[in-house]
Formats: sequence, structure tokens, C-alpha cells
Amino acid sequence: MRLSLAHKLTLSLFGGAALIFAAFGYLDLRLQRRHLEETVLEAADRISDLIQRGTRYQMMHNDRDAMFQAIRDIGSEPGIRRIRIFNKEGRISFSTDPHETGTVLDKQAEACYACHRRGAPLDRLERPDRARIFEDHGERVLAVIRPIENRPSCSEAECHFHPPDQRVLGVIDAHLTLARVDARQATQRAEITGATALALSLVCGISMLFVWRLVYRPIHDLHGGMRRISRGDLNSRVTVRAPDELGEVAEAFNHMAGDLAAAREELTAWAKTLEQRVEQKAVELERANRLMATSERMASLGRLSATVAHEVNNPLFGILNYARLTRRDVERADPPPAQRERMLEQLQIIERESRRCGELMRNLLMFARQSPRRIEPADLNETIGHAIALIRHRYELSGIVLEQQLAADLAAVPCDANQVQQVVLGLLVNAAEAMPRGGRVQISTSMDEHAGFAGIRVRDDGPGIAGDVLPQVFEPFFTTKQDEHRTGLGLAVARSIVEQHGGAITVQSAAGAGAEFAIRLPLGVALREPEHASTGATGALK
Amino acid sequence: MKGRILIVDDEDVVRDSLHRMFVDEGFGVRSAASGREGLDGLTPGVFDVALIDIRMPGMDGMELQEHLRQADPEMLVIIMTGYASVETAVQGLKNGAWDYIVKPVDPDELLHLINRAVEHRGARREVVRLRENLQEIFPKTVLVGHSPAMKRVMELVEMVAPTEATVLITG
Repeated sequence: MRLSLAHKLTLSLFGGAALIFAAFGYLDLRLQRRHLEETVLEAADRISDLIQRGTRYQMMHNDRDAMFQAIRDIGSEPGIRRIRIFNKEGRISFSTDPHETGTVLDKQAEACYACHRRGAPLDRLERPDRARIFEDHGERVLAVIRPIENRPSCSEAECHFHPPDQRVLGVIDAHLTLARVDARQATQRAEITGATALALSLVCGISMLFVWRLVYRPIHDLHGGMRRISRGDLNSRVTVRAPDELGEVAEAFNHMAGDLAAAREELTAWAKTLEQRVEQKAVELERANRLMATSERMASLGRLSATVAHEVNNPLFGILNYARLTRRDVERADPPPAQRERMLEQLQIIERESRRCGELMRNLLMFARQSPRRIEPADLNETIGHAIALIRHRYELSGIVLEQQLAADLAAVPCDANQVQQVVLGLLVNAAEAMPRGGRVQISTSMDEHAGFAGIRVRDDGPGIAGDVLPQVFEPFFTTKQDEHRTGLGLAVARSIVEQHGGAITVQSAAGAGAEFAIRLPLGVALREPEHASTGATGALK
Repeated sequence: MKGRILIVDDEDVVRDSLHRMFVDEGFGVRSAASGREGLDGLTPGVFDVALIDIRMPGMDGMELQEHLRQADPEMLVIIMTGYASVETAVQGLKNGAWDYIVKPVDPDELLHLINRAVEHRGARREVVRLRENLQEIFPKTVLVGHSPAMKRVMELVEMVAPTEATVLITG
């Protein structure tokens, strides 16, 4: 069990006080008892003395009866248990107890003990050594012996009873009861115990009061305050009760709690500000992101418009010029045959260029329009086979070797097989165009079941794509080919198709190191709604 | 011949149609499909106007313009853009182009612009020629002297010069 400081202090005080009080009480009792016993001893000695003096006359006249009567009279006094006289050999010559008279005492016991054991002459013994206390019939008894010394008057008496060389004639042994002393002492013990107990309780009570006021209360307050603070109530304060050390501790504690509360408030404020700033920044970022996305779209649209404008304006410009020329020719009357020839040629160019514009617009519209798709599980290897069948002849003519590494364990991929075939064919055509003097093209398929993707790779060892234009190859209208009939939409359409299937198309290349296009198509159906869809037109991949 | 025009455009249809049109209008025309071809064998003073496309593979219009300026500073350059881009036009004009057009431009307007350019070129050539003639007639003489007296003499010469009077300067 955990004892509180106040409890420990109280118990210590109580224990200490109890110990001291008990010791003093015990000492007091001991002293009192000794005093009482000494008083009794004195009384016994005086009685012995009285007997000796009072019976002197009878002794001198050897009047034993009178002497015994006198002793009997004294012995009947209250408090005197018995008086007896015995000689050197221990024979009791007289006792107030008639049964004892004539019996012999054991020298080693009781009264004889003092002289015979120590070997000291009886007449030399001091009073305390002549006295002894023993219990008899449940009562404490104090006995004192007194030697009856031989005097000239004794030996010279008429009876010549005592020889002159005998030093001690006999011993008076007076027994006094200590019952009264013991009774008084019992009373006193009770009184002292009571008083001690009372004093002890008073001391304890007062100590407890002080401990409660000076120690328990301030510590209890502090303890409570600490518990409240540890629970998070930083506004709690402790009452400062006295200007002592505990008061100082309480004050320091309050100060600390105040600092703590201020620090927490500051932290909370900081956290709040931080949160607000983070939120604000997030909003700003989101706005910037939106703006960027918009500007990206606008930039893309701008690029697209510029390219479209360039692609369309050139033939239009030609058409306008040819039309004017032709008009001028017509205005001249009767054109000669050579001029008619020229007019026809110009009209043909106008027709061709108009068609070019129309074709361009159609491709552009197809690029922009979402075309319907038929998604069905398809064997990519088979789809690739169809594309290869379409281009095989061209590869043979150009001297291109086609290597196939088609994965045998390819799962069916949900896709529009026609569109995927168009993409693959486009990549194969691009590879062929990159190598007009022949070369090697590798086409491979692979599976990544863990990532949930099927892959198609088309690799050529042509001149490759320079690093500075590599990021643009998938942009609409980007082309490196000089043929004016190219729209630069091929790879843009390919990317559009692959992305509509939830996949991705990437290119790895460097100038002079060939090019590798990699397509990833998801195995699970993950079609996304296209922002702009493409077409199935085969001619778009140019 | 109205004037001589150099056309540089990689677009066959543009180059050919402009060539035919300007020939038909009586201009002397040379057309080139690239900047290199245009600069090849270019003699200063032969062409009055160069009509060049901005967007061309290889050397682009801006670069060609710079080469043309170095080869023949007197030739006027008109740049053509396939799409209206203020930045490229401004850049071209800053680099010394005389004007710019956005394809497709109305052929009559283009002819008008070319005529103006040729006239402008002719006028400038005329000024140069007259200045040269003047130089031949009045070779530059220099009077030495910065003193107040000499300055007074110069003033008097200037005042009297337009008149028929004969002046004798002594001193």
C-alpha cells in the first residue's frame, strides 16, 4: 500500500511520541515503585529496630513470654505479615506464625541468602542488602533481616545464656506485605497510562492538525494541480497558502502552468496559421494547376491552329494564285492552244490542292471526333499477324527483315482489334519509311500479369529520332518527313487510340541508334472516355 | 521588265503559282525551294524584291533574311507566313524586312505590294544615281579655315552663290 507523505509524517510523529511517552511512563512507574518499596523497607527496618529495642528488657530478664507477647503485639499491626527470630543455625526460635516455631531454615534460601551466599558478616550488611522481596500466597512480601548483636550486657546477664564470644545472637526477620504498595502502583500505572494516552492523543491531534495544514493541504493542492495539468487543463492553478517552500513550489508551479498554457496557445495558433496557410497554398496551387492545364490546352490548341493554318493556307494561297492566273488567261480572248494547256494544268493543280485541303480537314475531323469502338477480347499476336500480312510485301520490296518474338502465353486483351491493328501497322510503316534502304525490324509481345498489362514493342535499326524532337513525336502535325502529303497525325492518332484503351505508348530513341516504340495495354477493361478520339482511317498514319 | 523578284518557298504549289503569276505580270522572276538555293549565285543589285517564306526546312526565313541583307543590302525583303504570328512578323520587320504578308493573301493585293516595293526600290536607285551624278558634276571641294574672317567669307559665298554675279575674293 502506498502511504502518503502526510500519513507517513503523522505515523512517524505518533510512533516517536508514543515511544517517548511510554519510556517516560515506564521510568516514572519504576521510580515510584522504588520509592514506595524503600518506604516499606524503612518501615520494616524501623519495626525490626522497634522490636529489638522494645524486647531488650525482656531479653535481659530472659522473660521470653513477655518478649514474645510484645513481638506478637507489634506483628498484629496491619501491613505486617509476620515477624520471626532465628538463630545462627536457622532454627526459628519464635514466629508470629506459630507453625513455624522450632523449624530450621535452609541457609541457602530466602533470608540467609544475603549473608551466607556472599559470605559477608551480617552486621556489616547495608539495609538494601538485608532486604528481599518475594511472593507469598499471591502477594508480594518485603522481608528485612536484622542481626541481634551480642553486647556485654547480654553475656553478663544473670542467665548466662549467651557466651561473650558470640557476636550475633540471632536474626529478626520482619515480613511486610507489599499489597498496598502494589495496589497503589496499579492505580498509578493506570493513571499514568491514561495520562500518557491522553497526552499522546493530544500531541498526535495537534501534530496531525499541523501536518494537515502545513503539509497535506498544500501538497494535495499541488498534486491535484499536476493531475489536472497532465489531463490537459492548463488553466488550472494551485492555491498558494503560505510563504514557505511549499508556497514557493506552488507559485513556481502556477508560473510553469501559465508558461505551458501560453506555449500551447502559441503552438495551437501556429498550427492553425500553418493549416490555414497550407490550405491557402493548396487552393493557390490548385488554381495554378487549373490555369496551367488551361494554358497547356490553349498552347496545344494554338500549336494545332498554327499548324492547321500553315497546312491549309499554303494550298489555298496556291489555289488563289492559280485561279487568278486562269481568270486572266480566260479574259484574254481566244487563247492559243499552248495557253489552253496551261489553263488546264492550273485547273488541275487547283483541283488537287483543294482535295489536299479537304483530305487534311477530314483527317483533322477524324482525329477530333470520337469514333465508336468495339471492345472484345482479342489475341494480340493474331492482330499483329494481320498487320504484318498487310505490310509483308512492302517489307520484302524494301529489303527489310522482320523478326517476330511473340509471347506464347499471351492472354486475351480486351480491345478494339481493328484500332490496335491500325496502330501496329502505322508503327511498322513508320519503321519501313525510316529505313528506305532496308534493315531489321523487331516486333515482340509480352505479358506482365502482376502489373496487369500486355505489351507490344516495335523496334527498328533506322536512323533514330534526335533527342530534341523526341518529345514532340506524338504531337499532332509533327512530322520530319519531307513529303508534302503527310499530315503528321499518325503517331498522335496512335497515342490517342492506345490511351483510349487505358494504355500508354512510349518511344525510346537516339539519333543513329534506331527507335523503339512500346505499347502497354491493360488486361482488365480500363477504358476511359477519350478527350479526343481517333479514327479507323488507315491513311492517318503517315 | 517591271522588276526582278526572288521567290523562296519550300511549298511547290506556292512557289510555282507565284512564279507563273509574276512572270505573267511582266516581272523577272527566279524561284528557289530553299534558302541555300536562293542564295546560290546571288549577285548584288540583280533583284529588287525578295519574297521569302518563314517556315522552311533547313534554313528558315529569318536566317535567309539575314543572309540576303548581307549579300544585297539594297534588296527589299517581304516575308510570308503561313499563319498570322505577330512575333515572327515583328521580328522580321525588326531585322529589316520591308513588309510581311499572311498566306493566303489576295493576289491583287500582293501584286500591288510588289509594285510599290519595286517603285520604292527604283526611287531609291534613282536617288543614288542622281547623287552619283551630282558628285561627278560637282566634285567635293573643301575650304580650309576656321577663323571668324574665313567663316564670314563662307557666309558671303553661300549668299552670292545662287546669283549670276562674279565674285573676286581678295585678302
